[in-house]
Amino acid sequence: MTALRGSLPAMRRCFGTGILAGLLCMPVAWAVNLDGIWRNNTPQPFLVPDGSAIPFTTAGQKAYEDNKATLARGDYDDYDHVKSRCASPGLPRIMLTAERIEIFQRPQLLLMAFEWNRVRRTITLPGLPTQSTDFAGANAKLVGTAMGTSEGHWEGDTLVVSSTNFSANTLLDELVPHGYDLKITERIRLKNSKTLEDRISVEDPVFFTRPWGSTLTYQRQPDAIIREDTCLDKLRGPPPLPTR
Amino acid sequence: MISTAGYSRPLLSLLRRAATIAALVVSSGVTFAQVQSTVEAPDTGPPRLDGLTTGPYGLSTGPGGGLDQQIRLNGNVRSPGPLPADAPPPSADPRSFDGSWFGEQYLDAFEIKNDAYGNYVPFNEAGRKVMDQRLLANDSHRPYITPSVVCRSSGAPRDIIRVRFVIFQSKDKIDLISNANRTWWQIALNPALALPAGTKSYTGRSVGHWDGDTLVVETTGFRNRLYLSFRGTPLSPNGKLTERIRKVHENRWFLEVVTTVEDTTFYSRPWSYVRTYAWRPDYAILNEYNCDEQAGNPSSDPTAGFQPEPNDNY
Repeated sequence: MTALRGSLPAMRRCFGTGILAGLLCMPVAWAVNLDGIWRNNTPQPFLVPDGSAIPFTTAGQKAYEDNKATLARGDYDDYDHVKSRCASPGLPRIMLTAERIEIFQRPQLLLMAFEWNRVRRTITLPGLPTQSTDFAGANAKLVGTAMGTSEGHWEGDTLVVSSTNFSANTLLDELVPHGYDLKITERIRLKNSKTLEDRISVEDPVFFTRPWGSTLTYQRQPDAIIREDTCLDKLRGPPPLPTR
Repeated sequence: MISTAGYSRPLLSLLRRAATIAALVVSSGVTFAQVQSTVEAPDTGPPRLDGLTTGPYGLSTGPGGGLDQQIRLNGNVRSPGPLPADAPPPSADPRSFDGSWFGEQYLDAFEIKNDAYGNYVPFNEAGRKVMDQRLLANDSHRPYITPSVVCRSSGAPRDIIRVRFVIFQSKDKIDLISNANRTWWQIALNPALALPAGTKSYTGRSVGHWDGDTLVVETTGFRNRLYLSFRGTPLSPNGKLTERIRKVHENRWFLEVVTTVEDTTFYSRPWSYVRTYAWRPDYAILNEYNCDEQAGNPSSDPTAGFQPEPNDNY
């Protein structure tokens, strides 16, 4: 059976307590189906921390103030390659996008494809078959990437994603810095069939005194062919390629 | 490097070819007899520009040495190993292409010399000129800017050669996401989802339907001239690709893609070529492709020293 949009091979939730535990089991694909197209309810350039202010360390506060000063001067390439080069925003900044996100969910893997500049992130899930490494794959573990390496697992109806192995050349949003020790933990769930919630937790002991979080929500969008977006065309104009 | 000062051009050419053959034999294990059978054979194909002929492996060679160097440098690319023991098969549904695949052609994908039936590619005069100019640019070590050089998508035919890609499939559309150039090839199976007619993009506008268990995809709307092979088999923006895709099991699982090219700008008639893509569930994780970090650098040459291809209206 060809995989239909919004349906998955059976995942089961079992009900009952005590000696009845597990007696009534039913497919839960409908409850944990993140598949589809989503758009941020309140797109914004900055992470809004849950509760109190971002708990910067002294070094983190200084780096943050430096970024603000550089932004004020307009020297984007000194600190924000997204603005100056269309480089990948990385995680979690890409989750702030005002454009659509398409989630492809399979039992052992989830891929988020972003309308913005066609970037993508892969979340591996338990049970993924042994992965082979080609040249790029083998070296990828030696060098941090903008999106990091994401591993997920289900806790009931919540997808818990842990991401590490980041490049230090990105920002958490348009200003907040981080380093190589960044760890992002996301708890992704459906609040209802049309609303996706991503509760993000940020840890980086060099830049923050304690973990802190921010919550983003997304509305389900109609299925669609996502228009091709090429950031460099907008930033630099059309490339010198023949058009005949 | 051996000094070539003082040698005559014909002798240099002979020495260069001998060195090429030797390097190919050492790197690939092909015997001299096998290579000799393709060397020095007269090229009975259509006239070529400026000294281009057919060299070892049936690919073009030229006087500048760049084309041969290209093969030398890439002749020892490792093939993917066998599938891991826990690799599952693809879906038993012949209409499900869901999963991860790998473009297994290599030298064959460098240059399309013959169509699916062994005939010469039916270039018209303009097509032959564009193809040979692209070859000569490589041969003279001054290659043209391609979409990949400037961190743009090259389109699905080019961006699934020798790379991994994943296919996500629903009843209404198919999404092929490649490791290369962040190409995201979307095929509308439900016509209501298709982008408006006339939409132009790097990957084109694709609409598909099922013919039995074969997926037929028609793509038009390219915004620039395409590369159907590494060396530049061209498709004009007015061209149309029709790809017939089916899942096959012959000792292994693979996708067979028969591509029919219709492009009166560069070809005298429609023609087809075939490529296969191996089932590789062990290649499910796409690598990050952040070429904008370099290509978008405001302090450096965004074209990396490559030369622009003439946009002549042939």
